[in-house]
Amino acid sequence: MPDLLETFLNYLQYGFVQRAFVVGILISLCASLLGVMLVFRRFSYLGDSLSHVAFGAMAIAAALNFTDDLLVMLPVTILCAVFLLRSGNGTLVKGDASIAMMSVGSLAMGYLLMNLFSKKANLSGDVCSTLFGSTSILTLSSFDTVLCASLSVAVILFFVLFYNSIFAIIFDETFAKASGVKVERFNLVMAIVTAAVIVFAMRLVGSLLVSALIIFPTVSAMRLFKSFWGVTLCAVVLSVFCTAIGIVVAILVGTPVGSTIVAVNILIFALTSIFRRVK
Amino acid sequence: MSAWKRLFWGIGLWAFSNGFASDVLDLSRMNSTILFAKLYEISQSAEEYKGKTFRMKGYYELAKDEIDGKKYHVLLLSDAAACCNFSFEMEWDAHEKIPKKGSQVTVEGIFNPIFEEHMIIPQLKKTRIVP
Repeated sequence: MPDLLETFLNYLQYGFVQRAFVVGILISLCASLLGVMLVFRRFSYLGDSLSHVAFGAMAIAAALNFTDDLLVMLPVTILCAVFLLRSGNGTLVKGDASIAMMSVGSLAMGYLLMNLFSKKANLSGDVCSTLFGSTSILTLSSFDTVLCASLSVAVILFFVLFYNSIFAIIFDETFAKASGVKVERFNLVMAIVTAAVIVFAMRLVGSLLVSALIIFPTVSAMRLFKSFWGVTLCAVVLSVFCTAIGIVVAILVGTPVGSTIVAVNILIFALTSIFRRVK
Repeated sequence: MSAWKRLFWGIGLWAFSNGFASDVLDLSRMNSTILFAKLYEISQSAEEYKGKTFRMKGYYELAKDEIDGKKYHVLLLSDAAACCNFSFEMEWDAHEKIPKKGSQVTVEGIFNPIFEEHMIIPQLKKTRIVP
């Protein structure tokens, strides 16, 4: 045990480990708030779909030789989020079908584009790393950290300032509209927030595992609390805890970071489920 | 925690940290996750690490350039998911016995990044096998 502690303290001296913790905790915080909004609105799988869209957008950025793929990923993902989150009126393909189509379509097209246009030597390695986030969180720059911190502040402020409106829209959109809440505007902002959080969350757990970061904390929290406020707060605490523990275990034991974080989330979900049964 | 224990841990941590801060950058003790991240950091600031002695553990391979047929001694290091590899080109020390292909070895060599067009080829000069 003392050896592990010494090793951990030594690793903590590295800048990339410090940045990983800061960004990981901030992203998990935002993802948990997002998760509360999406899970209650029955859009749990939206995270997966948008992360696949972001993967496809990243492939386009690579094909077009963009230095910073965020310039393509963010706008494309935001547009898709707006499309998917708008109300079902007038859409040709509804609900889960449109999410599924966009999800698999983006993933397939993204991988195809990368195979056709990528100039990198280790393509499969890059794809694997992007999909599963084995060490992406440990390769962040100071700029990435600042960007993530800014996003997190924006998401938290949005949630805190508009808590009542978000609550009303989540549980009864029609009533919220009748009460004077500008539902379309909120849906648009939520779509932008969703897209931004998911694009950044891909750096933490990879494209395929983003849904876990969004769904598990909320569902675990729902096992413990009944009120919306209680679930929200608990989801934030659980998400941050699981991410921190996941990163610690991954860097000490040498496992992929993304999968380890998800594994910790699964464990916590199992424990909260047992606790609920016993209670 | 007693004062003696605190002193012991403090000295131990200082000694351990200085092991990392010495001229030999010992990457052989790192697990694959941290190693990959550290190698990425080195690749981003290769000039700062030029001339430093690296100790690393990986798999030895003999690679052949398809264009000119030249053979290269390579040390392969993988990340935790084994999907991403870092490879170091090695120039063996004069009297060093070359290991078997595919064998896991721990080597020490002087880091010499070769800057070519838009990429950096990480090279270890005067490489020797260490226990």
